[in-house]
Amino acid sequence: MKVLWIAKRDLSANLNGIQGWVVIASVLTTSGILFNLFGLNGSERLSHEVLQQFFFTTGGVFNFAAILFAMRSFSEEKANGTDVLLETSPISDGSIVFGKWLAVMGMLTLLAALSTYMPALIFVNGKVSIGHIITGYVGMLGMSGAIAALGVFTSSLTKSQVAAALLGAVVAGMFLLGFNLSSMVEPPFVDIVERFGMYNNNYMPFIEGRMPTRELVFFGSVIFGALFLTTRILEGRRFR
Amino acid sequence: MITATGLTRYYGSFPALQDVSFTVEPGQIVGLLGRNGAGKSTAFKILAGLMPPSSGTVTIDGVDITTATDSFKASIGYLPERPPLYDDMTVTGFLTHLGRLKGMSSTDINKRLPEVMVLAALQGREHQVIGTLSHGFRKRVGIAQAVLHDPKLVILDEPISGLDPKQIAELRPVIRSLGEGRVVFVSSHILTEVSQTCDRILVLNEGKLVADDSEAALASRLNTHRVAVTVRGEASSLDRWLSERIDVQEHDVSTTKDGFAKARITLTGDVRETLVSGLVAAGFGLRLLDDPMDELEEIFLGLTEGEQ
Repeated sequence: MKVLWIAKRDLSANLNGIQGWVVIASVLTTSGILFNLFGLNGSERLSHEVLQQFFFTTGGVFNFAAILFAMRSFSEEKANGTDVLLETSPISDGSIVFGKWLAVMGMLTLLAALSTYMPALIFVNGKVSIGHIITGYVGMLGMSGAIAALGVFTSSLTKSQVAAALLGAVVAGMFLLGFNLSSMVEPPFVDIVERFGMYNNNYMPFIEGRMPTRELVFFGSVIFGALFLTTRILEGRRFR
Repeated sequence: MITATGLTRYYGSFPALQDVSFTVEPGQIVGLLGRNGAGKSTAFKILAGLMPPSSGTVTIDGVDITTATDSFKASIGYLPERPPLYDDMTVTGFLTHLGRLKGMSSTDINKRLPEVMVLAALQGREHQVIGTLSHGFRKRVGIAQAVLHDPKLVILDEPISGLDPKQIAELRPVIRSLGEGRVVFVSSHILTEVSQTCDRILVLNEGKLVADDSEAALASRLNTHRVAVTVRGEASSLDRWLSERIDVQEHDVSTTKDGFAKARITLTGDVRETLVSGLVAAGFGLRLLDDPMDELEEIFLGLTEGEQ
């Protein structure tokens, strides 16, 4: 239950302040422009291709949003000295970290809900299944949830939100685009590096309307790993 | 009852706290004094469960706080020097949120909130956004969050720093009232405030506990008294006269802008009356006799300088 109170507090902070709404407005504007440029570019297309294009471009924008929402998770608390409130409360470090991540997921879910007008337009004017839309959103939230977990991790390392965001972007970039380095690596490491292609490897099936368990497990593993590391960081800080 | 036994904390090879032990009974307000870097913050962080000691233990009613479960944190209330507040929340919203984090039920929170508002003198500010509060009221909200869950141990790090004299005077009874039934630790750079607020004083110097007693008992331990005198006469004559007295430990003579001789004197024991009658008998026209510092400041300097 305390996890939910922590999440609620962070959600309120995002929604009561201007920062959260600026990110939401920027993401919706950017994804709308990208959808217009690449999804509705005038050429004849099947409606499911347009939907795929929507998820492809919006997924990338959501990853930026995940970093921006997550950057304040711990950095802001540390900068304001309010981390003491959490550390002196009878809550486990794991619960604190999970609550912070849940808050970011809450913002991403809100963002997802506000973006549904675009797939809704395709649904009304074209011929796509609701299942395809739901699958796309599950993949998008899975991927951006993993990026959010990495962002929560980097925000636990510094009290500067900007530094946390930049570091988060670098780490997320490695996970999203690391496969591009595969041509520079020799076997057997090439197989490992190719797995660092969350966008092209793990997210693509969802864009196409499939929901493979393997990829869900991958996103879950990244989320668990990043939140576990964040918990260790919080615990380790007390022993310095 | 709070018991610290052999508390030691190292930062790398630097000993920030060395073998500190004390026992405090409920109902006592304890002042923790020390120069910057003496180990006060380290001691408070250990007491608050924010940092484990390198060795030694802290127990609250027999339970070791470093090995206790997370739920035991509810026994401790902590106010750092800078009050940890969410500026976007209202006072009531903030305290309700904190109550939930501390594990209080909604019923308990609703029952406790009015009591805490009175205790921290926050009536009328319940629905004000914290970001719009003055520094003094922010301190009070910080105190309210520290005592909301009725902890056995309350730690207030510099609770009056940055406050104006009126705010300090208003906060003094608030801090005094916290001591009912619980242990309260207070640190402050304003020594007179510790003198007026605390029942007992712990003095830390270079990580070691150099004194642990009431202000009166500590004063009696130091058999010195400092005074400043201003007399009509030659500074050189006053200097010579003071040098010949065996009850003067140290003195420093200067000439004021008005042409009077002024001396800061450290006496062996409280022999002020003898000093004054001696000055008059020696022909010095006494203009002013003054305590250059308050008693607690004198004790503090005596203890910490004596250790160095």
